Amino acid sequence: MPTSVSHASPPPLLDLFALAKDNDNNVERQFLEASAGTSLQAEALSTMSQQILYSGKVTKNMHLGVLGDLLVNGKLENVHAWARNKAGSGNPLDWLKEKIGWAYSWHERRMLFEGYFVNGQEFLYGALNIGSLGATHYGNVSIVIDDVFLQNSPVTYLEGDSLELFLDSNDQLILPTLKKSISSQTQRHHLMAFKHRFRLDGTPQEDWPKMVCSKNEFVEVIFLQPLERSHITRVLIDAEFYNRLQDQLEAINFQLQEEVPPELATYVQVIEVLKKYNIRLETLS
Amino acid sequence: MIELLALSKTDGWAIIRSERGLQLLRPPYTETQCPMIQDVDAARLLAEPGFNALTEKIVKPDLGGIIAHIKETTAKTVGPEQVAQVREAARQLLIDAPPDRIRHSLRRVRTEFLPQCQFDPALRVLSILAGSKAAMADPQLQTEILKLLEESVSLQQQNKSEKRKTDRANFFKKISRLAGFFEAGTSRIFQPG
Repeated sequence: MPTSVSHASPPPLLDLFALAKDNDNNVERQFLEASAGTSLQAEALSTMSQQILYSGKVTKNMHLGVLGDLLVNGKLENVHAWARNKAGSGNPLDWLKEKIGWAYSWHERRMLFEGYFVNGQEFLYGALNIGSLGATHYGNVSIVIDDVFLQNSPVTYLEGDSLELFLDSNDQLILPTLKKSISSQTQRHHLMAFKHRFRLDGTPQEDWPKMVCSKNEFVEVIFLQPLERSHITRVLIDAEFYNRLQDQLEAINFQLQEEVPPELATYVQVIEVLKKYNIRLETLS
Repeated sequence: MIELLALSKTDGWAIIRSERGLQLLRPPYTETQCPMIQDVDAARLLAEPGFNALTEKIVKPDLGGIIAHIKETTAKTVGPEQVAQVREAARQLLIDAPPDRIRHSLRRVRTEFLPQCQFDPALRVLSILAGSKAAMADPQLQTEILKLLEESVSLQQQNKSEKRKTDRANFFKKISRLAGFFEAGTSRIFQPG
């Protein structure tokens, strides 16, 4: 006997960028309350928020091959756009499964998060940075994204890793927490400073950049693809990595290298494009 | 046994699974360049352009085997145009090098290349350095480079003439050994019975 099936309509997609704007007043109020008074913590909080406001940048870590791809092709799209292009009229998921292999089930969690939002499959991710190299596990180069692009595009700042903070163990979106933990471009400095309010006192100011943006600690930034070459203002590169590549390049003159390693070939390609488009390369330790 | 799970051919980044777990492998493949990672990190890396999970199973008994496989696979991706671009960039690096870097190269020529009679690379580097921007701006540095260039040419000629002498001496030694052998042989053949 056929059973009756209820056709409950899926919940409407959420607009992440609108939610972020909706929370801006709350972020500002929280910050102002915490920074009121003359305590050392309040003073440090104000100093940090000013530092973020004036020198905070959105950066995105990547390895050299990805940077080469972005600079040469002129734009960076996310893996969903890549799969759609590959699949044509076929199923993009088949391409994703092949590309990501055994780790696909971990990627599914990312797709579930993105599935809650309007344009979720167009999301690109970065981090708010005040002068560190960021999450170097994902790459020892980091692009600095143009403020003007971010001011004129939908962008959301999240207190931390979206998957860890806003998806529960059943992969359900924790909407109340999300709504309270995000801001738009205008309140990013207050969001980040408030997040670190209890750590500012005991951490010397010169250590703040690494404290607020590293592999395990960051304010995540979500914006929409594509990211274009013209949106890059600077490229940061790990000083040790840079020196190694420069030494390898110099060794080519002495013919100590019989073959050219692909990393070096990509590096040279990157340098050429950076020069051509007048994009500065900066070393960081 | 170590399994190679994923590879980015344009820069040699790779993900392997060993007894220790999942590891990221990056050039120059030293201990510090092989951090342990989680599956979730791997998923993020593999969502980036150019980094792909392998469809064939690559298993090697040790890390050395994996690294050799990565180097062999990735080397094929560098075409002749890229090699030429790298060589030109390397030359330009010396042209634009600051004086301390140039002095470092001069030291290498003096202490590594000339003592090992590697004259061709030494002469090539010195010719580039002689035309470098820093040398053009600093007559003392330029004199230093030209002096070493002269010294290298003279050492190369000296080396060539010594080599010629040695080669000639070796040649005559060989000939006389052969002649002796021949003489002994013929005397045996024609020895009256």
